[in-house]
Amino acid sequence: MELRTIADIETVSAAETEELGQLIGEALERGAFIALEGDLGGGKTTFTRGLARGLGIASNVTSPTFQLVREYEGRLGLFHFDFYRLETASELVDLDIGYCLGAGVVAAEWADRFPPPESDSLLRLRFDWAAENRRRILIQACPRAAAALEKSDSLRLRLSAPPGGEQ
Amino acid sequence: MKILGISTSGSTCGAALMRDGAILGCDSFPGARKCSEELIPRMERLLSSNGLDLRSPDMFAVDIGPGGMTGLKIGIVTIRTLSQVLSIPISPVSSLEALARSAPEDAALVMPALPCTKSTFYAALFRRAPGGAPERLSPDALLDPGSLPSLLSAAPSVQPLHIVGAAPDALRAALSSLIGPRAFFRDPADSRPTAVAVCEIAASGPAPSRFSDILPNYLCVTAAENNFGIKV
Repeated sequence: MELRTIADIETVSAAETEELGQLIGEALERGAFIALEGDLGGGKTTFTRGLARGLGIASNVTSPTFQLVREYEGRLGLFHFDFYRLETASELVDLDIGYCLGAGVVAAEWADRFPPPESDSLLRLRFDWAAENRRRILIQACPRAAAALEKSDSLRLRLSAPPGGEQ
Repeated sequence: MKILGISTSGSTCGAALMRDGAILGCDSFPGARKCSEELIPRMERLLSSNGLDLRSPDMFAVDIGPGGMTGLKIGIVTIRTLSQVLSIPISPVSSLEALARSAPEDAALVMPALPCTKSTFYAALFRRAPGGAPERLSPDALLDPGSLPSLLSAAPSVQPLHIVGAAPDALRAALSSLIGPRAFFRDPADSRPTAVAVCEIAASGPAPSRFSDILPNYLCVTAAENNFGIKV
């Protein structure tokens, strides 16, 4: 799937990363695969916490590293995967990732470990450490995901803000 | 003959109790992936509300797939364990054959289908004489739209085809272009593998097996097979 960079921003706190997740979560459509890449502590789980809030999920979102996948019910089902401990792509088949994409959206941490599964739309976020609380977030989207995100005025506003949040 | 049947291959799980061909009760609950919490309590409630317990069935019937692997593992392991401990035999039932029974009574040609990935699906072909049970025309298989012409060649070419189950878009598009107005899609909400159909198939099927002979029919290569070369 062809990906285009739609934003390259910085967040200055975990709360801002979470807020970005919430704005994206509100705009997501069923069948989306959200690839989350970046080192430990980069913000992938924090972002997903926000994503869940944007989907109306009240439960506490925690890292799925050991459980491999955690499932939440919201406006859409959220299937929060972590590929860190998986050794082969066939383990994703065992975890019913195809079913998950049909039932809701999949957010996968350490997604760069495997090629993305077949999905209706693909979003890729790369989290890099810029300073103690600052993170640089590169956002790429396939045309369909980009169109879905475009519909959100508040998200568009946030993504066009200068690096480091509102100045 | 008392049969306790379960189905855990789809997004909804079910348990059903049959005695001498009549259904005494059934229960459905969502979340095949999370059914480990609900499965045994629901089975026990179904039995106790009919004055029975887990030792009462003469036979267990279990959906062995294809379908969601997490749910299948939970269902099959639960029934195998009960069977081993209680010495009750098990009748394995195909999820697609159970799904075929939710087609309308007058549907002569039925294709049960369950999604796998975006472009692949599990499907088989069945025919049904009026008043009869679905008869298999093809084995359960993991297919993509390209394999449809060969699957359809097993069926009479003029009959309408009733597709039951959650047919992925790729399947719908391919069938519509292959056979157009002859394809009838049942609402997925009406058609899912049911524990009732699992009991019915077990009741009229071959003699049940020992727990150790009951294996899932995933049709997908699992990680274990890939990593360790173990054939399940």
